[in-house]
Parts: sequence; structure tokens; C-alpha cells
Amino acid sequence: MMKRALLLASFLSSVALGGCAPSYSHTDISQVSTNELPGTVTVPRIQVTQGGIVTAHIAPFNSDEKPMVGDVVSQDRSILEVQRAYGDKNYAFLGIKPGTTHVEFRADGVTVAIIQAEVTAQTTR
Amino acid sequence: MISLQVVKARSLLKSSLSKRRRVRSQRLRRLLTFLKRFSLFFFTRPRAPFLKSDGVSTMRATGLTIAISGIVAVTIAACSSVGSTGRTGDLGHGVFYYQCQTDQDPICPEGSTTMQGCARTSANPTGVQCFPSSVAVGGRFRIQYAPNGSAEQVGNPVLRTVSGDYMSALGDGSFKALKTGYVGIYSQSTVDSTLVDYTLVKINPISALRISDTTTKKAVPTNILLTRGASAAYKIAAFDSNSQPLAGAIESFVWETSDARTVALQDEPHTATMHVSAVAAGSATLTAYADDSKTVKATFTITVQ
Repeated sequence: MMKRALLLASFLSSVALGGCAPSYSHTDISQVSTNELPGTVTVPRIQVTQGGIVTAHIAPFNSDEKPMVGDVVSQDRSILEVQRAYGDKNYAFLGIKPGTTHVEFRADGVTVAIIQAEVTAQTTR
Repeated sequence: MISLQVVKARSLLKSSLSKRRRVRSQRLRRLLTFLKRFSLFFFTRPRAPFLKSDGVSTMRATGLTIAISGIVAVTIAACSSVGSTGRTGDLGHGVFYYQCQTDQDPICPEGSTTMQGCARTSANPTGVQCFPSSVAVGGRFRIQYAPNGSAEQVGNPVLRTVSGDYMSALGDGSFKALKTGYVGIYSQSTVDSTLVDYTLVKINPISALRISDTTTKKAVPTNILLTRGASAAYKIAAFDSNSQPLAGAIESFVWETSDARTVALQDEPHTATMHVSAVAAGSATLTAYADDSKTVKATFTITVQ
């Protein structure tokens, strides 16, 4: 009986502690560079022109507003390549060839968002 | 065991090399700072003590000031000219430099790997425009990248192109433009593979050709006189639809002579610079084409006397 009570108490305390631990809250995105080739990096959509590069600062935060370890990964690197750019939490999106894919935003190794990404063909100038 | 020692030796060598580079750049910065301070001291210090002394001392002091200012100016100009003939990357971490790969690139003067007029002058004080506005489809060229002080521990960045559809990387910083449009060239750190900086290169098709005499450097008139036995050399320059010069070594140029018995071509026809010889009396038309499609061309006539 005593054992059962102890187990229940430890289970409840671990649940309570787990509930209090900060969890993923949000990701801040700010675009760093633009150029002659249009491109955007926002939460609903990433768009890059073929041949072009768009850089953005992407920083995940937890519920305590503390920064988390972030990562950004393209699901199809033959269409859109994502590289770490110089500077903390800066990423470069490279338009390899026209097409659509998805980009995963990760916080502390866990995927927290999957965003639709498109590489568009260059329009004749 | 042996391989482990080799790896250790390599890493030691790498770290000592990067240390040497850092020390060298620190020394240069210290020297520049010292020279700048020294010149500021001479420019801003009160002149009264010199004025109080005799005329010879005043002249000596003025001479010394001018000499030091000259040395400072020359040193600063020499150091900054390295960073003044390229294009600053879009992320501002360094400068991209354009280099002509061969004499076939018409954007550079013969025998030079840098564009004409790119030296820092009063007419071009910043020199930042010394990167071609566009390269020709099919043009080959070389790019070099030099990181500035804002980018540390990036090693010796390698250069890559974003899209192989528009530009192919030939290795060692060499590229070949393939298709009309824009394409990014980026520098990648050899330390942690981060993208350090990038620039966009515009690629345009050849819309017009101009032929110039390599001796006079002037555009050739429609008719040229050559004496029998004489020789001359002519060079093709490529332009886009806005009459802007196109960069890049073009392998697709084609030269033709209407009468090889009168004016003979001395080089193989796929070249930017053609040497010709006046063989016999008469006249022949020389035609330069942008490529084998022969849609874009320039012509002139040589009369041999």
C-alpha cells in the first residue's frame, strides 16, 4: 500500500515538474538580405527565385522567452538548399531549380514547423 | 597510428598557418594605425614652436610633415587598392574580385587579368564599380573572394554557384556562364561550411560585336589599307542590347576571310584576337561572328596594296 502511494506521488511530481518545464513557444524570423531576384522567408511561405539567395535570421524561443538551439532543413536539396550563413542563427536559402518542397524548422532538435517552399523560374527581363 | 600522427601534424600545420596569417594582418593593422596617428599628430599639433624658431627649422619641419603625409597616403592607397577593385558582397563580409582568365576576355586589356580603368583614380575614387555589370553567355572568368575584418575564422573560402543551370563551376574559382539571367556566386567557409557572402552575376546574350585594332586600340573603320607582306591583329569585343560591354572569355567567336589568298588568318578561327597577314594585292572582307549560328557579326574590309 505504502509502495503504491510512493509510486503515485513520484508519478504526480514528475508530471507536475514536466508541466512546469519550458517548452517551445515561437520562432522569430527576420529577413536579412534581398537583391534583384525576388525572394521571401516568412512563416506561411518561403519563396526563392532560381539562381538567387535569400538570407534570414531564424531564432526559436521557448515559453520562458529563452533562445533555443535552432536548425532549418530543406526536404529536397535539389530544389531548395538551406545553408547556415555567417552570424548566429542566420540561414541562406538557395534556389537551385524550379519546384516546390518543404522546409523544417527545428528547435532543440525537434521539428516545430514545416513550411511550404517554392523555387520559381526567372522571368525574362 | 601513423595516420593519426599525420592527421595531428596536418592540424598543427593548419593552426600555425592561420596563426601566421592572423599575426601578419594584426601587424599590418598596427602599422596603419601608427602611421595614421603619426600623420594626425603632425597635422593637428600647434605650429607655434616651429614659428618661433628660425626659418630653416620651420622649412625642415614642414618638409618632414609633407614627407610623412606622403608615406602615409601611399601606404593607405596601396593597402586600400586591394579592396577597391571588386564588388562588396551582399552580406558585407568581404569583396568579390573579377579576373579575366585569358586574353580572350575582352573586358581586360591585353596581358592583364583585371578590368581596364579599375585602378583607384580621382575619376574613380572608390573603384567599387570595377566588376563587370554583366558577363556573356558562354563566357569564362575567375572570381576571387577576400573576407574583411567582419568575418573571422572562415578559412580560405571556396566559391560556388547557386544554380548549375545558369553557371557551371569549373573549379579554382573559375566559372562559365550558361544561360541568360542572374545567378548567385557565394563564398563558403572552409572551417565550418557556413555561407560567408554572395553576389549576383548578370548574364546577357551577345547582341553586338565591335572589332578594334590591337595596336591603335581604336575601333576599325569599314575599310583598312595594308601593304603587301604586312600583318595586323584585331580583337573582338562583345556588347549586350544596351551597348554595355560583356565580360568573359568567349570560345565561340568565329573569324572568316572572304579571300584567304589576299588576307590570310594566322590563328585558328575560334579566338577573340586574330592576327592576319596581307598576302597579295586585292581586297578581302573579314567577318567576326559571335558563334557558329552566325546571327551576330561585325565586318570590315582590308585592301592590300
